[in-house]
This record gives sequence, C-alpha cells and structure tokens, in this order.
Amino acid sequence: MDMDGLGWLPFLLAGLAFFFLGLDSIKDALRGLASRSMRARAAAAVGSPFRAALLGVSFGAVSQSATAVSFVLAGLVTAGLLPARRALSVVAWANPGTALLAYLAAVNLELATLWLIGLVGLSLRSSRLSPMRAGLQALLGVGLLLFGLVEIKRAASPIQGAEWFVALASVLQAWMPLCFLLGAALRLLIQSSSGIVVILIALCGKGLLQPEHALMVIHGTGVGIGLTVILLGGGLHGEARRIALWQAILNAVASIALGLWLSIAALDWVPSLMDLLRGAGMPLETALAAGYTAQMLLCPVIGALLAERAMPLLERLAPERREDSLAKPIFLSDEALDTPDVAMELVEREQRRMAGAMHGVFAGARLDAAAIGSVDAQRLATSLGSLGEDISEYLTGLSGRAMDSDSLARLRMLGARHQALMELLHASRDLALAAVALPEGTPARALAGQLIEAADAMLHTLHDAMAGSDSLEAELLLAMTADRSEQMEDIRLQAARGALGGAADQSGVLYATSMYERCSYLARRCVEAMGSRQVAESA
Amino acid sequence: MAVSRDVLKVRIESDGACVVASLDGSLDEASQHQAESMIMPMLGAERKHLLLEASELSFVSSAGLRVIISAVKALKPHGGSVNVCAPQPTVEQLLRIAGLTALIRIHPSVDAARSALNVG
Repeated sequence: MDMDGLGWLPFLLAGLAFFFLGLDSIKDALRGLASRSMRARAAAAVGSPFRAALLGVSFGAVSQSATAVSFVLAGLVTAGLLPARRALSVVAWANPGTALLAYLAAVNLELATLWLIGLVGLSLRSSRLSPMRAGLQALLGVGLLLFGLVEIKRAASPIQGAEWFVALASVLQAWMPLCFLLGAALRLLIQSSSGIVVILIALCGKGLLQPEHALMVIHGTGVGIGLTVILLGGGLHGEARRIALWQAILNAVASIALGLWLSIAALDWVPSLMDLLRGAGMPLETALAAGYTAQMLLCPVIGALLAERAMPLLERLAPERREDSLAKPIFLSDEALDTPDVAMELVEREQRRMAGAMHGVFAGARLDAAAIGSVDAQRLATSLGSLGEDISEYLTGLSGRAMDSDSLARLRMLGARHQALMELLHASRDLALAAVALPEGTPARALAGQLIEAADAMLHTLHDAMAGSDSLEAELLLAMTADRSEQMEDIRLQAARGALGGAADQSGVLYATSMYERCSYLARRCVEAMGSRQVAESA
Repeated sequence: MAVSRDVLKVRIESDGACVVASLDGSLDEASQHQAESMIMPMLGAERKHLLLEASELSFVSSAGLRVIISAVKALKPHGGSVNVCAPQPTVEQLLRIAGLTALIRIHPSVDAARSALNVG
C-alpha cells in the first residue's frame, strides 16, 4: 500500500463515506424496528442503572470505539428504541468498555468488521430472512460504520513512523500542554485511543518521551474523542445530537480534569497518577494502559455527578426538531388500555396530531416559497410512519380488550380511519416525490406544483374536519374530495397533446395525477370513517 | 421551483349584501394573514356574498385556498356564497383541481357575478 504523498487521502475519504453510510443505514433500519413492543423490550434491557452500565461496557468493548457507540446509540434514541435519559448512562459506561481492549492488542477489529459486513450483507440477499430485514440492515450499518473508522485509522497509520512525528515528540518534552494538544490531535486523526497507547509505549521505550508526557498525551485523547463526535455528528439533531454532545462533554471533562492533575503534579505539589501507578509496581506498558482506563472510568463518574443537570443542559444545546418529535406518540398510554373509551379518545387525538403534521411531507415540492420553511420532508414522513405504526399497534392491543358493542363499533371506525390515514401518508409522500422528480421550470412541474398546493389545502381541511366540533368542516372536505376524475382527465388530455413536455414529463404528470386522486379518495375515506353524528348528518 | 411572488394588494368595497375584494398579486403563505384580516371581518349575515375580483391575482397557493375555504365556512351558515370573478387560467385550474368549485362559483366578471346572484 502506497501511503506516501496523498496515498492516505482515498482511505480517509472512503472511511468517512463508509462511516456516514453506516450511520444513515443504522438510523433508517432502526426506525423500521421501532414498534411499541420493541421499544418496551429495549427499555427493559436498560431498565436499571446496572443493566445500562453493563450494556454500555459491552458496547464499548465489542465496538472498541467510543465514537461508534455514540452514533449507534444516537440511532437507537432517534428511532425511539431507547429512552434518551437511559442512553446517556449507556454512553457514559461505553468509555471504560473501550479501555478493556487497550490490554488486548491481539484483537483484530478490521477482520471482525469484514466478517460482520460479509455475513450480514449476504444474509440480506436471502428471502427467508426477510422478516429480520430491518435488524440485519441495522447490523450492516454498524459494520459499515466500524469499517469507516478502520479506514480512517488506516489513513493516519503512516504518522506512527514519520520522522516529523518522532521529532515533534522530542520537542513536546519541553512543554506539557503541547502533549495534551497532541493527544487531542492524534485521537482526531487515528480514531483509536488504544492504538495511541501502543505508539506512546514505543516512544517511551526508545526514550523519546517521558512517561508523564506520554500520560498527558493520553489525557488529551479525551478532548479528541469529543471533537471527533462533534465533527462527525454535525448533521445530527435533537436527541441524537444530545447523545453525541454528552459523549463529547464527558470525555472532555475527564480529560481536562486528569490533565490538570498531571500539570499540578509536575510542580511537585502532589504525586501524579503515573507516580501512583508506577509506585504500585506496574510496568510502563500497563501503567499507561491503566492511566487510559482511569480516564475512561472517570467518564461514568462524571456522568453520575452531572446526571441531574445533564438533560436540561443538553436540551438547550440541542433542541429537538419537530420532525423527530412527531415519531413518538404523546397521548397513547398503556394504562388507558384498561378503559377502552379513554384509550380510543387518546387514539383520536394521536390521529389528529398525525393528520395535522402530514402536509409537511409536501415541503420540498411546494410552489409557495414562504410556506417551505426548514421542514425535512423525508424525515417527517419517516417519523409519521413510525407514529402511525405505534397507533396501529395500540389499536391491535385495544382490540383484545372486552368492550360493549358501541365501543366495538367505534374501535372499528378508528381502525378504518387509521388505515386510510396511513395510506394517505404514503400517497402524499409519493405525490411529493413525483412532483420534485419533474424538471424545474417546466409546465409539467408547474402543474404538479398545483396538485401539491391543492393536496396541501386538502390535508389542512382534513385536519380541521378531524378536530372540528360541528359537521361543516367534514361537509366541506366531502365536497372538495367528490369525484375529481373530470379535472384529472383534462390534465391527462393536456399531457397527451404534448402541452406538458416530452414523454418522461408526461409520464411524471400522469403518475402525480393518479397519486393526487388517491390522496383525495383517502382523505374522503378518513372523514367517512369518522362515523360521527355530525358527518352522518352532513352526508 | 418555489419562487418569491408579488406582494398582495387588497382593496375592499362593500355594497349591500356583497363584499367585493379586489386581489392583486399573490395570495400565498406570506399574504394569507393580511387577506384574512381584511376580508373576514367584513363578512356576516348582512354581507353574505363575497366576490373576489381575481383578474390581477397572479398566484394562489394552499394558503390562498384556505382563505377561500375560511370564507365559505363563515358564509355558509348565513346562506351566503363565495364567488371568484375573472380568475387567470392557472388560478382557475388550481381552484378546479382542489375541488373548490364544489364550494364556490366562478364568474367571468364581477358584474356577471352580481347578475347571477341577483343583487344588481
């Protein structure tokens, strides 16, 4: 492998690409897994502080990367599989988990990662395993993310033997803070604190670095972990970003605390950690690994000390995006399942919430510049899909309860409306995708834009109808969604005459019109399924 | 595709049972509040027919459609009506696509709307 010149660059770029690809795969796949029952199982798995700590240490030990653990947990939290508060504890305990492998140099993470990608990737080809598809895709994402970190590490590997690095290490002897900064920079580049420990042992062995200076470099790696997590997590929002920030804060505080101790010890005011470790008879290699372990163990200690203040601080630093907050139900309650009428009222509220946000899936396709805002339409559609799955599961749970015939009829109505709402979400998303696929500035795109504006108004009216206390809103929606075939036929004739561009544009418009008709039909079904007295009167 | 549009100018005239709102520019998210705040207070049992003079209305978005729907909701209990007069072809096409033609009436001019409503 030629790593001279810019030979390291493709490894760095490919590593970053694999990392982000893996991160996206984890997030997407976990959203597919985030059912109510799966959430309950995941919450139970971290139900006590001890279990959370055990899971964290295990995650850290297996992944050998505090960075990877942060992002996998961010994916779990974003998907609603883990409560954010408990995930903070898992993240904190993942740090000592990574330190375990600083003692086990023989572990070949790269090979394990390749096995993971190979086996899981090939398993995804099998139709027999399709029920496990979301789980396998999440695992493949973990593999890609780890592989990305391995490649980033490979890009930085020439540093170890570089003459400039050895010369720099010699210069560092003069000033302790520089060692700290070098540690941060090395961790940013090499992406492996245990790898850095190995380099430092070699430099100390050659007499190029004093043990205290080597320990200061190790302490600096904590800031490097924090910087890495912040840099790679630049695209995260809300709870996912809070997890990344928490990891950064813990490592930075632990790092700075131990760095200060070592600086004070250098003035001979107190014994240093290295003095204590060597004084206990540890050889240099073990003492450096133990110094790193102490730093990692300090992370959960700091986490426990800051626990009460952590969430308010993180919420201020990383406010949740509305698109993400919509993925989780706010009304559904398991306790209410024992009182079906109350539970059904909660379902209705959750359905109204879903209907009220649904028009956001058109954000990227709107003609109205002032209406677009900063909504991430794809993220919103995924979140609403997740919310819809939760409502479906809740309705299924409710159907197993004893209830009178009136309640049963209401439950059937809610089920029918929910099915229509879910299909409406998919049809709306498909309509938006069809519109944005058309070339900008063409008559076809302008017409598709009109379909979007009309569908947007229809969804607003649907929400009003679902929330309305009288029949008027429902009546308006029923009138608006009456047979639209004549108008759609006009558009199709325009397309057939070539007024809307070439064959591809015509085909796009035809698909958009069929999706619009479907939205219209489904919105109507939502209202018809409401079965309320008011709607019956208006019909 | 989304582009900034012309600002909306609204001129309101009241004449017996009719309120004539002349709209010039874009009726969209940016101008929705302005249009609603000028038109809605004028509507009621006494002035139950809204005539939107739309010949200079160059663009209507979902927000504009919702202004029209709000007016329909306000006037329907009084037996009133919403009438769009002389809309440009793209605006008329949007009203038809959105199904608003089931709730409102489209006329070639304000005078034609008055005649149809029999309010002189």
